[in-house]
Amino acid sequence: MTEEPQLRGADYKVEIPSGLPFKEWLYKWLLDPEIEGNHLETVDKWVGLLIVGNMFALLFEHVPAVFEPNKLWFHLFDIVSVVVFTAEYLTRLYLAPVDHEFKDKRFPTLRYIFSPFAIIDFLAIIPFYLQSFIAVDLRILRALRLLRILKLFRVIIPAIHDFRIANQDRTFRQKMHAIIYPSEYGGKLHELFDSFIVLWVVVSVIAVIFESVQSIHYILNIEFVIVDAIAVGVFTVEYFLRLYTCVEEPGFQHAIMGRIKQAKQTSSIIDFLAILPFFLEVFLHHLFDLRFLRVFRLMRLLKLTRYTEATATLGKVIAREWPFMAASGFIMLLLVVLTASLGYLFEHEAQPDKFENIPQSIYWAVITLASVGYGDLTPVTPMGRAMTIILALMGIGIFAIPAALLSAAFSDQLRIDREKLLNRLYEMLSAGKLSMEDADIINREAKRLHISEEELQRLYERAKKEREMMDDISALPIHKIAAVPEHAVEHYKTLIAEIKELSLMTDRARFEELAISKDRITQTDLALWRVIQSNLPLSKNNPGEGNTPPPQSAV
Amino acid sequence: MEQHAQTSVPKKLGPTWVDILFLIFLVGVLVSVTLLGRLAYEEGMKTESSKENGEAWVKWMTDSSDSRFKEGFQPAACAGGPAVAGAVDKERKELMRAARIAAKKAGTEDEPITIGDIATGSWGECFKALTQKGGPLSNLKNAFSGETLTLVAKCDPGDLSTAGGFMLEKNVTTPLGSAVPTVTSTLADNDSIVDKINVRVTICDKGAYPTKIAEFDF
Repeated sequence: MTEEPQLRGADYKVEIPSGLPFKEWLYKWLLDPEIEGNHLETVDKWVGLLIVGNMFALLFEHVPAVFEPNKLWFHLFDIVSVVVFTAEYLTRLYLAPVDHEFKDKRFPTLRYIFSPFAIIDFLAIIPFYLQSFIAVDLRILRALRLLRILKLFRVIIPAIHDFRIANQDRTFRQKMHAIIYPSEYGGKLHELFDSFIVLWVVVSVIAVIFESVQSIHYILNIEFVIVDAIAVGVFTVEYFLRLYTCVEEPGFQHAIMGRIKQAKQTSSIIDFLAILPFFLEVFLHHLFDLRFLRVFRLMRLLKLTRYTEATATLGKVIAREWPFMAASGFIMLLLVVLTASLGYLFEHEAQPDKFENIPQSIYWAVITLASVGYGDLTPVTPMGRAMTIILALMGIGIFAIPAALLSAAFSDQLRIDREKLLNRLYEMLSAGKLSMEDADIINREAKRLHISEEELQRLYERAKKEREMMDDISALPIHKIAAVPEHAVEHYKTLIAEIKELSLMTDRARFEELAISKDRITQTDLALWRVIQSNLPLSKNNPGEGNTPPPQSAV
Repeated sequence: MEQHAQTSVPKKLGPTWVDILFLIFLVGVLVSVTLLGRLAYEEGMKTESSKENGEAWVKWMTDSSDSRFKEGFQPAACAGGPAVAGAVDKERKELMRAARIAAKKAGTEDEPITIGDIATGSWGECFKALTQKGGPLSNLKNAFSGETLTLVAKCDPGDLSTAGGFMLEKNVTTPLGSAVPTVTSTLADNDSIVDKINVRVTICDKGAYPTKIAEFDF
């Protein structure tokens, strides 16, 4: 039996039948990897974050200036982590008899206990309990806590397994491409790669921000150096991997030109600028003061634009509304220059030190127009003040135009994106129903556009209805039918069939008599009528008629 | 949705020689980044050493901030309190007397008498005593130049030779109603340390930017 495709919105949550035994229900609700929309993804995500948090806690425990004053918080965090990991371990242990992997085996719980993942989970929590009974050296304890990182294998190994299956007939470079670029072959491993990069972007940006805080920088100077070096290592490898595998992308296939084209992409330039300050500072710090380059490390934040559609949408919106925004910018420019000149004219004599020249007056005009009003430059002459009133009132309207334009364009863009999804659904429904692949694509798009399940269902119904209407050609206006010759033929056949039906049901003799006597139809139309009915069987209204050849003149 | 061009079935699925070359290049990149990271780490450690130098000064000065006002404090040049104040007065009087004799000889008795710097109880003498051979802070080295740690007037990013050096400044409270509560200036050789003074220790990091170590009473 084939599985029916299912449309799922961004808020999709699976409904687990409540009639199941509790253990089975809990497994399906919480841990079953085969049920999409259950809470496994959430569990994996939060446990993953906790593991990363543990690694950072472990790192900071080696910094006495951070650890000593916050010892209690570190200890509490450790307790919370162990409680969560223990709860996870015990839940998995409890659910082992219904787990797909163990339920068909003898002694499923025992089998689970000795499975690699369960051993890893056990090793992640046991040092904490051991220290209550045995005096363990703090350094050994910390080293054992490092084992918690192994818990990530619970996510990584299945991802590698799925990746290998999906890529078994593919080359090395294609596999690398699938990990780095979004494609139908990447699966969970690609998501993990993205998460890894995002994690390092966030860590390095936080490091750059905290580096500017003198008191933190003083304590963690060397840790910041290490974090930056590792982040640059990660980003450099990512940069070269992207350049190497980009030739698998459509439009980038050429070995050299494809890579040059990729290097010129905005995202690649951002990637390059994210690593450049490190190399420049290491090589040239003896020659120049390159500390200012450190701020450019914040550009790493722009790497995140690869993972969100928000900036692409902003780009589209600005590109679309550019003529209007340029016009409003031009009006603003005119206003600023004119009022600054007048400000200079009226105020220069009264305040030669403040309204020294027109560029200084431009600063005053912009500050006033934008309703910022720092107050460092204020007019004192009656004319200057009168002009300030006008300028401030105009500023409210003028500065509101681009904001309103952008806001309207944003919501419009969202509507366009949804229309596109609707059109896509419409195209996909041409075969009558959605395939599994189509449903997958639509589900991904719905997730991207944050369309709820209810809304997606509504769009689907609308597309389906429109598609059904499309199938009923007769419901379309005649010019739309005429535009498609295939539809025109179908429509013609329908019309002929209707005429045939009419002639079968009506009194043909009376029809002809009326048509001829009162000149209701032309001779040509009458001839056509006769041709159509010549091949019709006899009807109860027209006995003895039919199969009469039409007159030659009429044909 | 992106379309991907991976339609033809390749003959060889394992890494090709181009892939292997790329992997070697990637390993090379990783090794280079590691080496550069190590270089940055070593430079960072030099700043850490400079901070340790500054902290050593802070430790000595804070440890001595009370004891230097007691009798028998060593080095004596850094001592303060009434006994030193008396010695300062004595030296001032001697200098005045010598200046008057000199003025008499020169026939300029009517002009105001000026005397030279008083060495007793001054920061310059104390600094010499601390950094001279055998002094408590004589073994500190500049992590960047490898030479004996020197006092700099100002951390100057335009002059990288100041990297690793350290600055000593005094904070002087301004009179009530002033725009700023304190004024900070470089601790000069002739500044008196007979009474307690508020000091700020700053080191110059890798880029010769100032990094404040501490502010305390000495």
